[in-house]
Amino acid sequence: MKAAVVVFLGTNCEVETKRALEFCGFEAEYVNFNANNLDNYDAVFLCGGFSYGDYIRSGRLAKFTPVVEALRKYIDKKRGVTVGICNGFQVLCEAHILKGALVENDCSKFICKNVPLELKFNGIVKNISLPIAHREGKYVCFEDVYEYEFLKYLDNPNGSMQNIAGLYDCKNRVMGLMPHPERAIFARNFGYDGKEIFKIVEEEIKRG
Amino acid sequence: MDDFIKQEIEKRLKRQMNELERHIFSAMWSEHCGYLHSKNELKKFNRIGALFPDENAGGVKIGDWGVFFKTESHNHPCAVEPYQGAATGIGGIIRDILALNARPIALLNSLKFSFSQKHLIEGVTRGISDYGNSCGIADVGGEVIFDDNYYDLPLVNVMALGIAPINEVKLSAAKEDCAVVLLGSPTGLDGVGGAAFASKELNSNKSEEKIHVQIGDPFVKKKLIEATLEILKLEDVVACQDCGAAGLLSSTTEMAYKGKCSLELDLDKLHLAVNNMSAAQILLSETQERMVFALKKSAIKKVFEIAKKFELEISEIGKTFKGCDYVVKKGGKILSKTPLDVICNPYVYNLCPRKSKQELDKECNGEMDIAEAVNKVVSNPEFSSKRWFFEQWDYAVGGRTFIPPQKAGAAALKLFENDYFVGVCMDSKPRFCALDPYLGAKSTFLESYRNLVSSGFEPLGLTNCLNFANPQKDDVSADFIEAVGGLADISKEFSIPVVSGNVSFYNETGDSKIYPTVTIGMVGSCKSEKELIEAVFSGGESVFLLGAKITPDSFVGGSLYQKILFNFLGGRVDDSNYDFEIKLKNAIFELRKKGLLQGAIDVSKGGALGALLCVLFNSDIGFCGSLLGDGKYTNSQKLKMLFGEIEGRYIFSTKDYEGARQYLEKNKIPFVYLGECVGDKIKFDGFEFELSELKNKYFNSISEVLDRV
Repeated sequence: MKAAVVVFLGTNCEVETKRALEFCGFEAEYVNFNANNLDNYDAVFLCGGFSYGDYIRSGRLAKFTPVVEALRKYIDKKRGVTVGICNGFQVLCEAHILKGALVENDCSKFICKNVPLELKFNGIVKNISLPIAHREGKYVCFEDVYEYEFLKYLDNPNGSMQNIAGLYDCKNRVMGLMPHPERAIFARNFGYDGKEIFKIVEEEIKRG
Repeated sequence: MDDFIKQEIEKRLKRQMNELERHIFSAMWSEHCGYLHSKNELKKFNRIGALFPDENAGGVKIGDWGVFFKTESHNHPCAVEPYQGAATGIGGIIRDILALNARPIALLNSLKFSFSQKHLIEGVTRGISDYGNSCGIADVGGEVIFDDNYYDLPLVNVMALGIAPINEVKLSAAKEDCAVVLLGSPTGLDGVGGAAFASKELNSNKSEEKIHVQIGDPFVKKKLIEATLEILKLEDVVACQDCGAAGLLSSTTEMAYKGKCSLELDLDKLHLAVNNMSAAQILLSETQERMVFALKKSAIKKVFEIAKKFELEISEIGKTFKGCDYVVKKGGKILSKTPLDVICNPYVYNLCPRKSKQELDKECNGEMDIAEAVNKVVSNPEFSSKRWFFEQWDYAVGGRTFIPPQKAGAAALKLFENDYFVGVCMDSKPRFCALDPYLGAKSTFLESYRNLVSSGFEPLGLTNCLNFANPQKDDVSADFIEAVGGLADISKEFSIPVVSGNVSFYNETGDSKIYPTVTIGMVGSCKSEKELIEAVFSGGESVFLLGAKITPDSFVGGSLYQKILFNFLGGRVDDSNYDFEIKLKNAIFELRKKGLLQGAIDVSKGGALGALLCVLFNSDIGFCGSLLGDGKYTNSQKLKMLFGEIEGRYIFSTKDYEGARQYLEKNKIPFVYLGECVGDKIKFDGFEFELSELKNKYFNSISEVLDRV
């Protein structure tokens, strides 16, 4: 399993994302925002940070980069699994690869803490906890996204619609989530639940 | 610039200053850049064991890596523009670490406010949040103190910590025959004269001062960090300096002076943000997000390519050569040619020690019902949880944070590079320093020391930020001498070097001035995750107090409870005992090794009861036991024993009561068995409290006030 960790200017979670991937059995390498082909990779990770300073809106500008164009082709031909974490989720929404948008938290503050979540995948429901760290993490959408819901807040910290913390578009194999699974791998204070997310990615790659 | 200084400069130059030189000297001989009133005192600090203490930041060795850290104050800018002031404070301290070729991995803040100044609290917190979070550097801890003494005079001390393999560290001394290159944001008019602004008392008309505050851009900073670390990997890059106070002027003069060579700047070559800037404005601009490099000609092409890759602007702005002058050119003309040893060696004042010692005999004799006192202390903003602050800062980015803020005395970061853990904390005890600057500084050192020890770390080095009022006033200069003396003495005694530091004077306005405020950032290490200790107790564990006992005769001046309950500041401050502290440290580490210690906390704010309550709230567990023992005491003696703050104490929990007791008795370590962690009530000496009720006050008293619309 080979994963690409996409680095835009302003991305800042690439190191721990790569480290977590390697710990979970992936081969991982950084891919620059100029890359125009992702076919080498079984999974593509857009990680956390503030791409292009989050100018205009979080994740807004990254969609104009060559690598996001390449990602569209990668998804169209169903080459592998795409995962957007935090800023990566925002980028996927801004690029309309996933539905909806992420807007400012109800409290209008940045929130960094561990939150309890409900993980629903393949008919199995589990309670886990993962750290969040964002100011624009309130998920909103005019459409019904019930079929995509896979991760929900048990104690909604930001005002997200339907308590949505993450979406998974099974058909296109695109996942987006605000919590940071890569931060809950080694650090004992955030538990080890991040591995659950990487396990799902692995299963989805194998499902083909 | 006063007449005396002007004469001193011209005496050394053996001629009159020209117009540009007047600007150069007003910045370089300002208190902020030149340390005129502090330099002589700071020589007293123990530097033995420090890595590169004369660079932008110093460090300590952990494994084969250097861990570099420094504090900086951004008090004046935050008083007039809290958001940008705090943001650029973070920006500045990051660059100091970066200049060594060290990757910044952690930030800490020590903040002081008057709790009534909500706009300052919110502005500073958000400035740190927006800037630090964007840069991707974890904000892992620190402290917040509320006292009306800081009304209109907020203190914003920030600390950054970075890591580099020791043999890859780049220094700031240039060499002859180098090109000088400026990387980063185009130089503009923001922050012009900032160093001079920070070197005087605050003007009551704050809108006039806003021009001196810089504006930060964390996105550019993030790119600058990555680009700088890539540039500094190149062998032909000789030296690096950040543009902080007094901008390009101080970075280039220091670079040349340390490298014993001449440096010539051609100001026409700079990338500028606005046209028609004067030479003085260009030199003194404190535009953020800029780094200066001295490099061999062979590296220029590569360095420009790296800048392009990160979409950063860059220009070659000058050169170094044999000599000892600082030359500034603009419009093809040489505007000034000034000896560097005059620019970089400002006049240094000798401070006057105190003439007569003040009386400190007053004692706090206030009385208050214990239950009422407990409620008051727990819901006081200075004592209560600082969750409101920490949750706005990204303490987990980077994936290294193994102990987050407030879970232990110190934060823990993993060095994946060599598997060590770094512990870091930031502390100050302004009320102790106000009563006795010498003992107060020592006590601050010990607070940091015990924070590290109680989290499982061996303390290795410290940095400091000395915040004082106007040093030209006798009492302030005497306070300063004594505080530096206290810190110097105790750092020698413990063989823990002062690796870096910062001084902020003139923290006064009108009639009010701040307490002498010594902020310490201390760093320690441990070798494995097993050695980390958290301030968390579990049900069924026994709780012991380790160390000194408070008696009715103990000195508890400066204790927080006296301020909260009686608005009292007075009395004598407790002195420290080196042998005793070492004995306690060894006991903590031995108990941990033997598996006889599950959780621990040092005893500081709120005394023994305060420390116990903090842990119980964080662990969500009740308690049953005794803190007062069998003796007969008056109400004010009881308050003193519960909440009083003296040196040399920890609280820890153990699953093995017998084992811990036997170890302590055998090794003759003073201890008191306090009780058991049990249930959902907190019971001691006939008092009983609902855990959930007190806990709610502890966690929410700050947000209830600050989030109220």
